[in-house]
Amino acid sequence: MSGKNGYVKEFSKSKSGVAGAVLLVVLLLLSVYALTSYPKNVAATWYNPQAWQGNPARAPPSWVVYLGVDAPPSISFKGEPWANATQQGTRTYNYSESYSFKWSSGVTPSNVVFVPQFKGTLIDGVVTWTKPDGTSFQMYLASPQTDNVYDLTDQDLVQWVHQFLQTQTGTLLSTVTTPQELAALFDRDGANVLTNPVLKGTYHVRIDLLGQGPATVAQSTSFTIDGRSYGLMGTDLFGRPIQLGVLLGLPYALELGAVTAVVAVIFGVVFGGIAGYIGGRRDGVMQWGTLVFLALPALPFLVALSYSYKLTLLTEALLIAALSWPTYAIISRSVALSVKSQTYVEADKAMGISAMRTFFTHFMPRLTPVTIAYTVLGIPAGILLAQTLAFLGIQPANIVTWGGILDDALTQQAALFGWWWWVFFPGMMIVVVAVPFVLVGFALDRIVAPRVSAK
Amino acid sequence: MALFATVSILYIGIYPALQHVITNQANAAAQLFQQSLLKNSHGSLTQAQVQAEVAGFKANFLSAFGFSQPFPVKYALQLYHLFTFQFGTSYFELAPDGSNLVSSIIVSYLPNTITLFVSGTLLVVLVGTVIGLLAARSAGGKLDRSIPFFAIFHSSLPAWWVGFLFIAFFAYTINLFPSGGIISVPQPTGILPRFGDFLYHLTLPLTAFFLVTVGGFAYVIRSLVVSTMGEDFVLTARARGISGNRILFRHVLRTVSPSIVTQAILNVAASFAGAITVEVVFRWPGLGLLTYVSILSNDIPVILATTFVLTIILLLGLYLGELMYGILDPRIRSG
Amino acid sequence: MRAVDNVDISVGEHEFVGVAGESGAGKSTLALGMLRLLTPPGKVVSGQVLYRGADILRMDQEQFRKDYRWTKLAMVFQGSMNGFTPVFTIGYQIKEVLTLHEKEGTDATVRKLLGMVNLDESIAARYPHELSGGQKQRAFIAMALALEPEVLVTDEPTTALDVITQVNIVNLLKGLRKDLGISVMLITHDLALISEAVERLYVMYAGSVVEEGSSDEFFAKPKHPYSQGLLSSTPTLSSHEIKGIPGFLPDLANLPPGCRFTPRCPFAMEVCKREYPPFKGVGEERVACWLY
Repeated sequence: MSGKNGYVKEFSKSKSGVAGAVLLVVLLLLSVYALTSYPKNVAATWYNPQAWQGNPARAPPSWVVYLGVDAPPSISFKGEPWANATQQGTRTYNYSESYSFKWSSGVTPSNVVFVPQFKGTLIDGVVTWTKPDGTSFQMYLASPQTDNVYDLTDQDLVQWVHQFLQTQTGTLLSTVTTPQELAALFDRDGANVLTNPVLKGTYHVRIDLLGQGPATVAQSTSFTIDGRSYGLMGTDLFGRPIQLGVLLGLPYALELGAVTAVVAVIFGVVFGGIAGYIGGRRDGVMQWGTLVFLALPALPFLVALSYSYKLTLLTEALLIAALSWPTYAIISRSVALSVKSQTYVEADKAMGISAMRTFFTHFMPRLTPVTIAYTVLGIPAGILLAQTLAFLGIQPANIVTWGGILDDALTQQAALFGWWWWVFFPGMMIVVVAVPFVLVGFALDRIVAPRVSAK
Repeated sequence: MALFATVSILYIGIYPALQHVITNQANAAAQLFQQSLLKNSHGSLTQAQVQAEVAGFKANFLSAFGFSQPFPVKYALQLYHLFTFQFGTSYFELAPDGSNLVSSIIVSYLPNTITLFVSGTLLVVLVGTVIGLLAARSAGGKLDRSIPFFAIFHSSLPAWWVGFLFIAFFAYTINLFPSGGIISVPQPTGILPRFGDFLYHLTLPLTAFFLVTVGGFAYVIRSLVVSTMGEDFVLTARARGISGNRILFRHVLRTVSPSIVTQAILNVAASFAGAITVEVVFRWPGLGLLTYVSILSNDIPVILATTFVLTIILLLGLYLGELMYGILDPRIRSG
Repeated sequence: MRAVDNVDISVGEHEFVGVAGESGAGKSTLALGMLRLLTPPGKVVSGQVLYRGADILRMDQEQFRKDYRWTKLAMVFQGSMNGFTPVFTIGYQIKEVLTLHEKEGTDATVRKLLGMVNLDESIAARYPHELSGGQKQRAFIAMALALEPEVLVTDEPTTALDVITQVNIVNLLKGLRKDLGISVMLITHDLALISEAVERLYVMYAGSVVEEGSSDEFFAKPKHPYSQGLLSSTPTLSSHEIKGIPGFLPDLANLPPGCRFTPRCPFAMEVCKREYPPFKGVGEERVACWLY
């Protein structure tokens, strides 16, 4: 069995190899999806905490509810352009919108968010909050700004919540925490509003915005009750969905792994192949050179290098490749030695064919299967190294990496707080990306190796 | 010798940062000199004189590192400083005894890294060799077929991530082990309880390292043993009436032991290079954690120094490995 | 694929028997099979190996290992030069064989054994790689003799050795037979070697025995066309030209139904292609050929 078709046929016999290949295709498709569905600078959004203000933070994946965890998902209303504008006095218009939502969880939501969008100027706004048992209170917004995120971090809004708390409990609290604010909004009223259970049922929220003149057009207000769970993989401290981070990290991880492996393997194989083929003193020198590079400890050296030179995706790939090629040179050289002992090399020489030609026509093609096998096996190593560097805080700017996400998790003590999804999914992704390459590589290696060592 | 070549490449890599560091250290030293000069002279020197002295001091400092000299001289001088472990002073870090000499800092953190990774590798080698031998013996059997599966872990699981998960589960969820560090606070008294406390803290990082590494090592051993078992002397050993177990555990094992020892030494040296991440996750006070903290605080002299030290360790490991192979294999010993 | 088929060989006490044939004829497989040393995927499908009447193939493995292998039936392999474990000294390995079979493993015994193969006792302290090919071969024979076996099977003991050493080894074997009374089975492709030493020989081709006879009978007048071809292709001092046997060994996985030598036989007949010739007596010998 020789030639490409032979290899393909034998490969398809290996179950794990085929599984690996299928998974690789899936990952590639996901990468393409990631690259095309998001704008070029999506990484900038990722690193900008403001952009995620409205998202539930520290939220586990939404499917934990099936495991019995009380972690309700978010409820959101996308505002329709308001039609209800009633004139109120000359040149002032009242824009009003009502929302109602049902809350059946025993825990409060994590945030309440409104974002008004309009043209012109608004004078003020009122939010009327009515609980299921009919009690309500109001919050006032002075000079609302368009596209501003009004949530429980907004001082203008929460001062009214604090006031409400004061009237309920009868005491003035010097500092009010977010859970307390949420309790005010969702617990049963009374002096013990802070410890009362959450009121389940239908809440009504009415937003009235007072604008100046018909020129003011209140276009919509989006209103969201942030739940306690989010998406497939939850969110981190800043509200960033982990699934997004995982997806965004994929194309770069693959790209880096591929470039690193291709460069390292091709260089290593050619280097080792030449060394084995030439033999003699020059071989000895090349071997020495290989050893010199082999002795460099990859991780610390890369760390040190990053202080001397700026890292881009390409330079990082090349640097990692520069430290990885010795392994392939060593393997390729021993393969070369065994191939060299085959008679056709002698035959060629006897026929007067130049050494160069023999090298390229007979020799290197024999090394090709090994090259491919080792390229595939080498990709996970590169990916792992790059992610490890990212974990230490060393990565090219403007890309999202899983190591980087895990670095945040470590710094924010995700383990301590039990935010396991922040740790589990990005790390799992590293494994998920590495495994298919390893499977395919092993399968290829098994097919290729017997041919090389046997006659 | 290869040692110089490798270090030279390292040197080229860190050259810009190194010059920067030396300059900063020169300035810092000049400052100190200026202060002590002012103090000791009790005002007997003019401003200009002080400036001149300080400038002279700084010039001397820099010339010791070959600064205004042609490159080969610079190279030689700076390399000399590296090899004699004169790393100067750090920007921020301090050794436990208060010294800011980078070499003292490194010396106080290095032993912890050594204990963690040497004991880890020892465990991996012992268990991995046994597993590899048993797998080779049952070539094709259940144990043998599951080895590649575990070897995959080695190529795809980052040890630090496993460590992270371990902490989340064993330390915080079920509170069985400490979440990091090397000693408890307050530290128990008495040698035995202290040692026990140390072991208690060692468990999680050791286990994470072990799980990720052992599969790969067992796979290598298994391949080695299987290929040796195909050799003639194994066949003749069976013919001579030697039992299967004895062949495996004496003849074959002894024959491959030079390779095993070499692999073990290489593994230790290599694991040092990966030390950073595991130590960071477990806050294990070793060279790796030192590097990480230095990255965070941009304490470049320390980073450069630790890189150099780790390189030297890896080189020593390679050299030692080759040496051991030569010693243990009688074919090379006399040859 | 059948490596060995239709073989019926016997070795008598104190006999020196030879088994000749080209490489790949199945000789080594035969020898390994006898000592139960075949490794998967090879195995013995049918047949018996009778040692003084006891079928050693069917014996319990432990019993065979302790009582027969090496103790009664020893083998010097084709690769015996690599037959010693590289990391132990010669002396250690010889002693090991002795002690494992509950005999005394003393320096004196080792010295005696080495002496039997004309090796100096200093060899005992050496490692295998320090010895020459011939020395290793002889040391191995010494180890084979350690348990005083009754039968010594030697498979190509002289390949890869120079001619002088070859002669030495053969003389050594002859001497051992004379002095110790052991039976020797010499397996080789080198007919010249066989002619030196054996009393009786078998010729194997493509896994089967095709001729059997006494040494004198055979060399005077070989009967099977293959044997004739073999003899004429062996250079002697008086030969002017060497005639080889045209063709190649048949593929053992695709054996023809008839005589396997047919494609290369100068006397091939129709019946040869169809039916396998019976092994019957012709004169003092036995031959499997339709010519008779």
